[in-house]
Amino acid sequence: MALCLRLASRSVAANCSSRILQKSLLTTSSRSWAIQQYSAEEWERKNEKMGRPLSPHLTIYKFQLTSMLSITHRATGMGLHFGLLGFAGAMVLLPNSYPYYLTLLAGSGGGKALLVASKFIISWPFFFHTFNGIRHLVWDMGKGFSIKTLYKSGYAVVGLSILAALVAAVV
Amino acid sequence: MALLCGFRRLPCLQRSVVQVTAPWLSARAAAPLSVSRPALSSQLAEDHVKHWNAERLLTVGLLGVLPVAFTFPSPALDYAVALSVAVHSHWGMEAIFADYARPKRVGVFLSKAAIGANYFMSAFLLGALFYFNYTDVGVVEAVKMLWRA
Repeated sequence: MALCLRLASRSVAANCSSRILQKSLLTTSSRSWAIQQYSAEEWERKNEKMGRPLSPHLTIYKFQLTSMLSITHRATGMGLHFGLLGFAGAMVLLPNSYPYYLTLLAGSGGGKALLVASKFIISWPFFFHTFNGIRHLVWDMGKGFSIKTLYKSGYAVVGLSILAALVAAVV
Repeated sequence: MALLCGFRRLPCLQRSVVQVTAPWLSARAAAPLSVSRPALSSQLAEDHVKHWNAERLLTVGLLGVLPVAFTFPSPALDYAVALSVAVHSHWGMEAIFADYARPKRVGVFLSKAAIGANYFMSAFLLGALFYFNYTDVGVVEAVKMLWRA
């Protein structure tokens, strides 16, 4: 009987959102269960001291379209940011104007192929980030979360971004 | 027994059998979900909703302003594009730094330094883009020229 009461109040205590009651229930008597209350920092320090290994995550988790597109979205965003930063910074630091450097680059004779390739390389991250960004906004409206839709929209983003970059490269 | 009678008066004990024995089956969350994503641990208590909404609003604005700026070029739209891109990428990089340069991982100083460096870079980007708009051809025209070259 006493055991039932103890068990009932213990699980209730764990679920109870009242901190005061939880504390009092869990630390009422020393002769009952020995529950150590750790703070998060104490727990982490304890694990470090004991040299406990972290469970594998990135090394074992299957690569999926969802996660790969997500990290690509982040990577293209970062790439666009630093690319723009580099360009704008160069324009601040260099003495001449943009048309001067553009004619310099255009006249350097890389050939048509190099021009098309560089247009593709510049525009694909922009198009991917834009289209996947729209996909994100659709999620923010609460739509399109079923697995089928996620994969459909994901493949659509990849396909459309490559198509748009190809069009931009040859225009 | 007396202990149990005392407990009955407390509201948190008014729970169903399901909630006590199998809380993971219970539909009601034990605690409200947090909407905070602090860039610094000092911001733990703050509400993230306004920032999140601002981010989405800016993204939609950016999506709108880009085609308009390319179709109807003007200095004002050049500055609008520059401002929108700079703020959008600032918030994006802030999220990256907050996610990866965490205090527990890189130390408190580096995590704060990363956020500070991000502010510096974004300020520089904004200034540099505005400078380009003012002294040079402008961002929209620059892209068009690059494509025409």
